[in-house]
Amino acid sequence: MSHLLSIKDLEVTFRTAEGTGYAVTDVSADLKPHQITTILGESGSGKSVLGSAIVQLLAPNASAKGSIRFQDRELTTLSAKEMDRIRGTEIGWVAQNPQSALNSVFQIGTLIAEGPIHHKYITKNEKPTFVRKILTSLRLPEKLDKQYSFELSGGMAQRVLIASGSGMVPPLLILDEPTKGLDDNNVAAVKRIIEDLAARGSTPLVITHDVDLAEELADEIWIFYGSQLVEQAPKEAFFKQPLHPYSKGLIDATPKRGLVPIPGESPAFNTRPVRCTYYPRCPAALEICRNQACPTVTLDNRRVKCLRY
Amino acid sequence: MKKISTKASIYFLIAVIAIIIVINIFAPLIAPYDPTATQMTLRNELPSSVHWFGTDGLGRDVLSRVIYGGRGSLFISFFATCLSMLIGIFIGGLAGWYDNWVDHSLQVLMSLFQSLPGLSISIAVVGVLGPSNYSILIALTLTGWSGVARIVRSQVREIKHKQYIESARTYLPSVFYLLFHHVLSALWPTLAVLTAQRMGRMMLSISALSFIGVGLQPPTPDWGVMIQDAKTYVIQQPWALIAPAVMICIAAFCLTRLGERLRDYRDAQMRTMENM
Ligand SMILES: Nc1ncnc2c1ncn2[C@@H]1O[C@H](COP(=O)(O)OP(=O)(O)O)[C@@H](O)[C@H]1O
Ligand SMILES: [Mg+2]
Repeated sequence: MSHLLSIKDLEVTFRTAEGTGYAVTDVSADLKPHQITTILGESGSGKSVLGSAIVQLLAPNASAKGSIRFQDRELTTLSAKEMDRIRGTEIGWVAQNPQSALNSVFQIGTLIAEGPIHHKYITKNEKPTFVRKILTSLRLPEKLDKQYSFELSGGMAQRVLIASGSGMVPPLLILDEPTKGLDDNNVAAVKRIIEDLAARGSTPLVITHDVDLAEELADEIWIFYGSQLVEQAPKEAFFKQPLHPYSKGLIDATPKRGLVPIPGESPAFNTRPVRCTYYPRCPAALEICRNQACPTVTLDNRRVKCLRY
Repeated sequence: MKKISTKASIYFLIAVIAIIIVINIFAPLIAPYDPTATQMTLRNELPSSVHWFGTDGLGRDVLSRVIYGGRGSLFISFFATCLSMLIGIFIGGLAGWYDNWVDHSLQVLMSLFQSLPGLSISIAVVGVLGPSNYSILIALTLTGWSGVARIVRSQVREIKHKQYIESARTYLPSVFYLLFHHVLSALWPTLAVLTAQRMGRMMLSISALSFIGVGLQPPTPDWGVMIQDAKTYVIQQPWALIAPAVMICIAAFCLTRLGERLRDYRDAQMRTMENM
């Protein structure tokens, strides 16, 4: 199968007052089109930074190395103008925290239609029809178009944010924590929307720390830990037999599997990590893990970054 | 005792300013006499039932002149304020948005214009271009925009990192639209404050220029011009000086005060928003 997105040896660092921070290191991955991929990992592991690197919207203090190929284009070398054209039309992004990610000064209808209008995907005259269509497809009331974001509940705001980022049905749609802070009904609604978008031709890349969501939604699971992708696997195989010790820990820490927490803390790096980033917390660590570099190995249709394999 | 609420005083100040503007617009209907008609037999008359504020050194009705007297300065200060705001928003917006050479060069430009001594530059401009409404407008705009730009720049620097701007950036291809639509939408309260403040200050500047003879020119019925005319006869007919002086003070005070009150109101609103 050809790939929609190919990331190779990606590294993202931040210059800060305390020195250099390594947020994404040694990440290589291929995204298959027409299925839902979920990036699962704890907070601070670098998931959002990976997403921002893909849309080329890293903070000014960041620098990125490596390659990100989207369809047949190398995004890291595209001009700002070309990237502006791709963002929203071909690669959509749905930010986290919908309440603060929506401008409260403009009406919802404007927020939904402004991207498509500026990309000449629709004309100004088509705005009312377009907005109505989008709102209905997200099972939102039509009268919402004249309201403001501060009048919305968290669940509605999340759906409106998805609407503003996905109106042009971009082939790649990255959603950052789209169910965070939502109740079960709203989580179910968002899940349905993501599945709808996938059915309409988008390839959703869903960033989350919710294992249950990943299990219900994903076709493919990517596990992010300590700035790295430690495992990539089809969902069924992953939940039947997680390969990476961190994946095992993550699954066992969910409420329905006994809520066994992983001891220790999530790491932060100010030097480029050489050995496995999970080593200090790993219950299955081997002697060689202490000082050997940890390559990613491919086993059938999955990949794992662990010296045990 | 309860303090007068900020909102109430904002309404009050707006009402006073509106009354002054309306009086000036409808001056031909309100003024009892022609403000430029001289009566050599009735010079420096003290207030009476015929001439409420008396007459000036050329026998012109002081009340009528006071009623007309804000037209020039209100009009010019309004346009000079609008122009400085537009230029200030544009330059300050770009400087705030970009982190590169655009910001650096615009900052140099701002500092340059901000370091110019306001009144002397105004006098110089009027001196070169000759006294006219346009020269006053140009002089005030030249010295007025940089302060606006500086404030807009620092605000844009803060706002551009807000999540809703970063989010809109992910689907909007036009930086100009993003900047002058989304970023500016958060700036309206600040712009309202600035507009009121600037206009108050510009009114004072115009009166000062008129007083020293490089602003509006006699026989225009203007408060600054009137003070200049009246100072020779201030002992005989003090009202010809007091009346326009009081008007300048009320107009400029209300505008600057309105700016301050709007700022208080904005800050209070922001605090409640943050505590929400
Ligand atoms: N602009 C920045 N400057 C410095 N460090 C940053 C910046 N943005 C993110 N980071 C750091 O990068 C790491 C990964 O962050 P992030 O990708 O947001 O995590 P998450 O997996 O929760 O989305 C964190 O340690 C964070 O502190
Ligand atoms: Mg995140």
